[in-house]
Amino acid sequence: MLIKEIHPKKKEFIFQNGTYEKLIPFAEILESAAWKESGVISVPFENDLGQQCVTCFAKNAFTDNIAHHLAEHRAKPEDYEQDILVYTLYRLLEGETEKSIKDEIENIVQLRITLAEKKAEGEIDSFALLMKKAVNLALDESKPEITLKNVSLEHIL
Amino acid sequence: MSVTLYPASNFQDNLTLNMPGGTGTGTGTWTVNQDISGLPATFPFKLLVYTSGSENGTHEIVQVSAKNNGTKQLTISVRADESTTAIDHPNGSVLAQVPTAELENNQNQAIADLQLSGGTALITAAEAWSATTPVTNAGVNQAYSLPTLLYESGSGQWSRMSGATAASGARFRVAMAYEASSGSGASVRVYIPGSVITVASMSAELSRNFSSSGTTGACETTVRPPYYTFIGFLANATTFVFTGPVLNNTDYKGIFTPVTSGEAFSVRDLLYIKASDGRAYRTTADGAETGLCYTPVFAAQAATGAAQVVSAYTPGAYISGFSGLTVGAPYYPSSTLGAITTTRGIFGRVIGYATSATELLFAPGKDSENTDIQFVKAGENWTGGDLLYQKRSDGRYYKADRDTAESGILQNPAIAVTTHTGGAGSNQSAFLPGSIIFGYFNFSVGWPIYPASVAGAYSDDGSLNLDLFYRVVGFRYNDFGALCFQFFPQEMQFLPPGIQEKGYVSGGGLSDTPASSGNGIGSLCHTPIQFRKIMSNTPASLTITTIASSNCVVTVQDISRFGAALRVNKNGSGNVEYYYHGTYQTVGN
Repeated sequence: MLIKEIHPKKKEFIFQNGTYEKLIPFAEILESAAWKESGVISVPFENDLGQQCVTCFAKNAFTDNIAHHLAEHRAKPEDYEQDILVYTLYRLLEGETEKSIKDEIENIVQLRITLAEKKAEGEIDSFALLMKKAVNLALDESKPEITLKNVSLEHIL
Repeated sequence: MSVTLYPASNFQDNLTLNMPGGTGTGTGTWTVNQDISGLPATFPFKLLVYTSGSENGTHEIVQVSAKNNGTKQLTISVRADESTTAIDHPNGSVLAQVPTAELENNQNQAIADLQLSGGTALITAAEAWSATTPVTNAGVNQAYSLPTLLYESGSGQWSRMSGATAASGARFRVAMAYEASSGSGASVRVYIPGSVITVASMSAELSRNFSSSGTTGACETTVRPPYYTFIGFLANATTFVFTGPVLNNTDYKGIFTPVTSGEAFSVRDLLYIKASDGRAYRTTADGAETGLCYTPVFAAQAATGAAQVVSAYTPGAYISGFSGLTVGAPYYPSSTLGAITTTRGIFGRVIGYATSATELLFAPGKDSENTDIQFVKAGENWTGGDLLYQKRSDGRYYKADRDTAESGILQNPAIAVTTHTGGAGSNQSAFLPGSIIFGYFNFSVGWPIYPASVAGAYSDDGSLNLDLFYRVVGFRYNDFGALCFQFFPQEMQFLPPGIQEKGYVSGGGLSDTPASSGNGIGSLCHTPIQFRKIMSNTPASLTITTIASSNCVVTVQDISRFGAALRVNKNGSGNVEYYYHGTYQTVGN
């Protein structure tokens, strides 16, 4: 769990890597060159061996992985939770509200569950490919009317 | 050896023999109170004479001749000068014990137990033969002979034995010529089994078993012909014991065992001994025990129901009576109960090979036959042939599905042996990797086989999709058996969930930016971080650790399951070399 906690109201999060732990204000990320130039949450730190390290987070881990895996499919459920924390942190840094982010996550998770049920009933062959299609539609900036909060079966079937 | 006893009570008491002293002949007559028609009209005869008046004392053998006068009387003539002849039982002979003292020159009473061993019989010849035929050793005629070996060749007629054919070489009803036959229909006397026959010395054949020979009418001592009957041996160099048939290969191509039927079956049905009750049932390739048939036998006799003890062929037998077999082809249990086929089914081992259109050599192959079947704990119901994977979280097996990583990557795959509805937690049999599986599949030759999106199903269309998960689990074996599948999973192309990757990364360049500016042409580079294996999940983060760097700021961006981009940005001014050398470590796969 590299992102240990997020404190939206305080606009800070706790980063932890090995024994290194740091409370990082959102502003520190927003002012970083990595964020400004690449839109990446990047945390430099010194590891236990005294080496200089940089951890960079993947905003898309959640939306990529939900196509295939829910928590029970991951090696550890915490991996699934970390994907959500990373996604949430990105969205908070982008200015989204907690409620909006929660709605996005709930909608996409429910869509995954629904598609898996349809596969189990033999109505579709692969939920994973349809989920990828749904996520791509929701993230397509040319289709602003379709978002992670509202993408649904109607958009992909 | 048959021995006909003529006890003393069957003889006339107070037998008086005129026993000569020195040389000469004495005679006497015994009246026998039982049938002695089996004896020839005249025959050599020996008396065991106790000369000390006691059965425990000294004795000698007295050569006599006897005459069967046909009225239950034996006339016995004694020649005193032959009294030292060695013991033998010549030609259906009689041995009488005569306990008497001072036999010579006296009229003595002989209370005898007369033992008739062997004997002769009149038979009708089917052909001509000589009274004797040279003995063969490894098929070569020897200088010495034995009475011609005969067998009852049908309808009470007799012919010379020959080991060249089953009909004349491996028989039970045998005899040896007492005299020559003039031809078909002749009434001739033969030795019957049990006879002890005096022969010319053949010391070279001592300790050997005499059998029918490849030479008609002869006895063989060394190399048995294809069809043989052991008929006797030498008690000493000049005494042949005609035991009659003690062993032969009448069932020269069959090896049998009694089995208890578990159901009705027919001759030549392929059977297996069911482990649960030890009885014989018909095989079928549709089941593990019934198809792999760990204890296969062929019915030599039919059973009309259960609990009947019948004879069955055991492995090694040549079984005749089939029809339409393909010579040289291997045969397997069929899906039809008890039948065999050249098409290997889901289960089945080689049972044997056809030696002709009608004969099968019963030579079972290994019962595992390149399959490894073990019990696995089911996590759900499935259908026979379904592709399975073992889930790490509970150790149970589920149907494979390429929509999710663990299910598609198949770290620990298996293939369901049979359909089951026993639900989660039940133990079910499954083929493990390394098996060659028959019967379930008909994939395209040469194409890799991997899981499909339909749970438990396979795909062989070649359209491998790296956006999903798969592992090649095997190939269509070859054209030997249309439904043959080689279950040999190939290297995984995906890094399983929970396994992280660490690798090397570097990037940089030479900036020609003017000294006054921090950025410009050549001051930024992107270097791909190509994962060595495709991740099961997009890592939530990558941590890069510096080995060496100069004049740069680095960021990892656009992380995916396949890799990421290392962004190296010059940090500083002037024309300088900037670079980053380090390692990357994924987290969250």
